[in-house]
Amino acid sequence: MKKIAFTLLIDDDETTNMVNQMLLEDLDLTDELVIVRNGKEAIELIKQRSKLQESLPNLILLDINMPVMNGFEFLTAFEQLEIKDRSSVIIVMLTTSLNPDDLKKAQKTTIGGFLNKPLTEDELHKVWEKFFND
Amino acid sequence: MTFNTNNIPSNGFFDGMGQMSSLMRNYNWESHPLGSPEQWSLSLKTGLRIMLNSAHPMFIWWTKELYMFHNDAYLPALGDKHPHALAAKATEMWSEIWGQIGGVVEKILKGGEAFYAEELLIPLNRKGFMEDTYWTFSYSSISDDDGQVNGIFCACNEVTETVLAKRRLKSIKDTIESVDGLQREEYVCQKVCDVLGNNQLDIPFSLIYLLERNGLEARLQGNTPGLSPDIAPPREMIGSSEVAVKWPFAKVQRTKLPEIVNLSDTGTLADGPLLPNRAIVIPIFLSGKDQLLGFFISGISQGIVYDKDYQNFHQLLAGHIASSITELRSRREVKRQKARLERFFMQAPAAICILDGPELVFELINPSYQQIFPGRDLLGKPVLEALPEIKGEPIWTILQDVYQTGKTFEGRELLVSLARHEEALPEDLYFNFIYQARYDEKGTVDGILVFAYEVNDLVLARRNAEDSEKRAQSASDDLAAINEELAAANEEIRASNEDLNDSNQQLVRTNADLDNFIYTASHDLKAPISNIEGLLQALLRSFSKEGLADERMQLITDRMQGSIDRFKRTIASLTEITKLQKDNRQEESLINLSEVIGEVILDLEPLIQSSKVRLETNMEGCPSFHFSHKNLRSIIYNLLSNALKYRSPERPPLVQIRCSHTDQYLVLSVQDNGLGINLSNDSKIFAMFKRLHDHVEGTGIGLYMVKKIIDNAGGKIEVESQVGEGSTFRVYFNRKNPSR
Repeated sequence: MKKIAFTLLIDDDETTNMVNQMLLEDLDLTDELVIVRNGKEAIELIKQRSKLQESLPNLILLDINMPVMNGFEFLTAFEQLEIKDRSSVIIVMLTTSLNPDDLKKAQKTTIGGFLNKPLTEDELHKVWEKFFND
Repeated sequence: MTFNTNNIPSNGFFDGMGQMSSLMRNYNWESHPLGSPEQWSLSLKTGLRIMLNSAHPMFIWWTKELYMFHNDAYLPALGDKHPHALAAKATEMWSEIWGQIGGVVEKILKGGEAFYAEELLIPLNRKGFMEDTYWTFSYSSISDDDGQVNGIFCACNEVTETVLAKRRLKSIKDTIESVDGLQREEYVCQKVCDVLGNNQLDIPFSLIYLLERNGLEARLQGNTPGLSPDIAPPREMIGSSEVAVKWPFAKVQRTKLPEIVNLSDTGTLADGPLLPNRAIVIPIFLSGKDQLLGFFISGISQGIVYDKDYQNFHQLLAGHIASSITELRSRREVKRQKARLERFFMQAPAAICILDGPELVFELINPSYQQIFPGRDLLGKPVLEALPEIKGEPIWTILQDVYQTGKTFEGRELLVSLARHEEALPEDLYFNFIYQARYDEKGTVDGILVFAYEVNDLVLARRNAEDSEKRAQSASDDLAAINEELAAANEEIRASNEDLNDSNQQLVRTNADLDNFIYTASHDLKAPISNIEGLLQALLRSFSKEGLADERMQLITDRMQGSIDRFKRTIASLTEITKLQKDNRQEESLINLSEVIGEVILDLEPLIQSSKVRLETNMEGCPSFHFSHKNLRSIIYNLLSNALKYRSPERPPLVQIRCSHTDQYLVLSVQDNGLGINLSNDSKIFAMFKRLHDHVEGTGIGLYMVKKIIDNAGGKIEVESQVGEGSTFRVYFNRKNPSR
């Protein structure tokens, strides 16, 4: 399997991040993994890496409910970033709720997927299959 | 004229200024039997001298031939006889009365005593008619020189006026006296005529007519007896032109003046002289007024001149007749009034009594007064004796005050303590009354008039009215108080309502808080549970295949995953419920119940298959209705899944879904033959988290949700169940009021 170069986890919950990290490591799916606690941190990171001409994340696992800047706010901010090759960033939203409003909102964005927590092996595979298996 | 030595003129005795002196002087005595005066006897001459000098009527009749000599004063007696009477023979000159006086004269001539008569009626024709004259005179003899009686000397006085006046005055006096005490007009009239009948010289006859009340007829009420009806018709119509009237009443009525009537026929009075040829009709007026009472008719004596005196006499008589009748009438009127007053007095509903004198003796008591004291003896007694109990009462002071001062006292609702009977106890009685002083002719108080009426009823009624008023007032006060209480109660209720409102709002807030809590809780619970799930997965991955194959390991991890799943399902249901709370307005659409059931059956396909249930649906009794599609799906899903879940292992499961409707509801029933529910002892199967069977997965939220949905929609849900036989759930959808 081709590995995902750089995965960004955006979630304020430590355990969730640990679980997702373990999963990714167990499946050996990514080379680089960065964890940020909220949308703002994520934006900062992306900005910085872009400035430094370093690579953008290939996969972002985005939580919705976060302080400072939540998932949707991040998406909005992300769209406004001046970066090259935005479409290479695959964003998958993770949520604990099945709130259809969230779903509707998410569908209006350019995210690649909307998944329920916990992220399972199966679902992760599906994502890899869809976006990274070329 | 020669004078002799005696200084007596030969005709000196004829000296004098008077007529007779002159006449005698100028008389042709030569041709007279007496011859010339020189040869007359001294006695004659002396007598003549005296006579001619006297202002008193005198005459001398000389010789038995009674040649007349008289002085000026005597002339009125002669009337027309003068001047022929001088030296005429008395017998001739006085032929009309010679029958009356001749005898007397003869007697005196023969030496008889002097004759003196007073007020002798001597009809004289001196004015052309036979006049009634009255004389007071004396005849005495006059002697010749030889001492022999040779003539008559008379000094006389005509007293006609006096006599008439006296007579008339007497008539009037008699008339007045005679009618005194007479009670009736006709008596008065007749009495007057009777009395006047005694003076036929002035009143040859008299008639009195009185007008009937209509003023058109005069009725004869008095007359000199014996008159023919011709002259004294009993009735005369006044102003009638049809009937011949005797008397000119109409004219007199009109002119209001006396009228002299010539009586054409002369009838004869029964026992008297002939009727006079004239009568006078005098109107009689009500004293002091213009009202004509009637007519007084008197004959006018032919022997008396109808001079002023005579007329006045008639007038006076008429006047007295008028007064008598007037008095009679007023007395009658007074009597009538008095009678009326007395009747009134006796019948008056008010109590009236008269207290007489300083002792205030009960002089007069009317029946109403006596009624106040039915058993008490009052009349003739002084008030203190008759009613001793008033001595200490203010009433006694008042009575005395009225008597002393003469001031009228008016009292209202005076409370007097009086005993109705002699033996009875005094009662409290209320009177309105007037005490009025009575005055005698001199203007002094001589009694008290009492006018009173008992007003117990009035006072009682007024007191009752006042009491009623008071009661009404107090009732109205009570009402007001009640109203106030009601108002206060209302206030309390309103306050309670406000509190309720506040409570309601509080509840709403609490509910909202609860919802939020549930939402938040369920939301916040999701993260950790998903973490646990993730961690479990991670844990599983860290085991080797052999490790994973361990039975115990599998058991534990299966159970762990199962618990996690159940946890997640519960949270999901909670979230559903809160969504239900928050999102009340579900979109409604026209429901085809069969379709929705079909959808649910599809959803539950796996469970239907695995349970091998026989499903019967009968939707015929169901019209379409409006409902939220999503909610309806929830309901049917819940009921059907329950029916499947709680099937009995002892018999093949049968689920019947049926539909019916009433006027108000559409009824969906889901009947199973499963385990049944013990509905006794208050099992709240529609409560949240209430699970009655543990062996099957379920959150215990389903029926709660179903009830919530249907309640919100204005419907209801009922359950029938028998343990070991099955359950029937009936859902009632409100057709009329689909949304609350």
